[in-house]
Amino acid sequence: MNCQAISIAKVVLLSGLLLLAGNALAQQGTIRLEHQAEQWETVTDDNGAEQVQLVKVTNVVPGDKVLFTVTYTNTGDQPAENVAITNPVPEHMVYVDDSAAGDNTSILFSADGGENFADASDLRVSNDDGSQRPANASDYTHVRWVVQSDVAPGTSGAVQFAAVVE
Amino acid sequence: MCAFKSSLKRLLATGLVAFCGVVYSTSVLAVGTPANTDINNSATVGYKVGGVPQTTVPSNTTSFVVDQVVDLTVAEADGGDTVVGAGQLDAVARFTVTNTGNATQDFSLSVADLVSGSDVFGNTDTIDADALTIFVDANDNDVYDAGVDLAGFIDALAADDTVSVFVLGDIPSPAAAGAAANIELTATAHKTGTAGVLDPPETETGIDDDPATVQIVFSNNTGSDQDSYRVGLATLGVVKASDVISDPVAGVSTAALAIPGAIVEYEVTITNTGILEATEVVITDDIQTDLTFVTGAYAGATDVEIVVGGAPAVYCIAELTADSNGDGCFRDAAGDSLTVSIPVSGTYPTGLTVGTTAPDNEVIIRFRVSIN
Repeated sequence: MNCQAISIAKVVLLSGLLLLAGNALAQQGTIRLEHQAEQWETVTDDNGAEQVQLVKVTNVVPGDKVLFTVTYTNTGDQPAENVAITNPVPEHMVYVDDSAAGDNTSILFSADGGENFADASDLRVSNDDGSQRPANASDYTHVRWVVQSDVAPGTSGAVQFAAVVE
Repeated sequence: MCAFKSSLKRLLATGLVAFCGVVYSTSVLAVGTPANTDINNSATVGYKVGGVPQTTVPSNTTSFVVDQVVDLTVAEADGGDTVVGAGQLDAVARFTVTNTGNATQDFSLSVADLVSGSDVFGNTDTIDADALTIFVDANDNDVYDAGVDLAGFIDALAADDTVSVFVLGDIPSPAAAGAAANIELTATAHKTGTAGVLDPPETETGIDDDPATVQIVFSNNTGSDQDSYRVGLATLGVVKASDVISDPVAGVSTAALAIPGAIVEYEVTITNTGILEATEVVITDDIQTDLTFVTGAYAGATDVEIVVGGAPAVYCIAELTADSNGDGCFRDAAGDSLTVSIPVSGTYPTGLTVGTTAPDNEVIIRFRVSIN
């Protein structure tokens, strides 16, 4: 029995190593995150009509809006529970009100550098005189999406928000 | 995967709808993040497997660099035309140039004389200002200082900074009141580098797909605004009143009568109802033959009291023949004509001046005579 158990363990280890060799991202855990930044670009089609399309961020000036999309994929073989994705609003950028989206998620915000998270309607910040006021979009420092159900192996989802370059 | 794709499409669609109401224009956002600033962003995910918390996993980091946006605003500074006198040299029209881009720039400046008939501030161009010359405010006081404000271009204007620019012009003479010379100042963005030198014009870089490259993007690389030199006039009105101070019978009394030997004070009030201040004003008053000028009637044995607007009174001595003491006042050799002014000095740079707004739009001169 002992011997057999060891050999099973070896097989498991071996397959683990193979996985590692085959996909470097697997080292990061069984949930893989892909982060991308896009911007809106107005293009004129062959008929002369203007269309707005999303392109990878290359040229950004103050006032431009950037769409950040985070895709999560469960690359493991177990369901992932209590999946919560957190994304800071980058320095030099301001969160665009109501821009956070994500199917099957509840969206929380932080206005204190990621210490505390709450619903947008519950979030408050301190004024200079110590009194409190409701936080507004420009106060947000972090966005958090809490996925409302387990993420089954092999499945993916995406969450996103937009921010404007100050 | 198919389900994921459709989910993402839906998200994007929602996103686009939500953003429709938010319109940002780079041209109206004054200055923001400086050019060449790196913006990096990444997400993390926390989760459990079988109820056991797993190590937080980071995403890749997306990075891009803030491009250099070139933008500027040129504005006439006073919100209205510039009132000048006919024949005035170096009449100053003031503008401001603001760097509304996100990087320091040099700016070249040029001024154009607008065509006859053009309309600026409701003034129709009828004359031309000559010798139009541009100077940039060197000491940040928003006032043209001859010999101080020398540069004809803007050197290294930082993002969000504003500088005054003066256009000097010579107004022809004669020119009728209301005649206007309209001008337009144009500023063009240049690169910045060598201090005190106008570097080459800024150029827009081509589209580059590398997010790490700082592109130079023109929101506007030139800006301009107009001003109008309008010929104004000073319109002076004079009112002369008299008051009997004393007579030989009643002495100093409000009941004193204008009888021989009485002392009468004349009060000459000059009021400017024009739109241009009157400078170096000289007032001459003939004294009737039956009157004799009284000397030493005012403080310090002076002869004439002059009150300019709200300022304290000044006094002068009206000596005979010529203004030998240089205080601005004298009588002719016969003593039957009085001339009053204030010499140009550091204290009175424009001499006896009648302004256009109260209380400085009024000058009062008092002197006394006796009745023969």
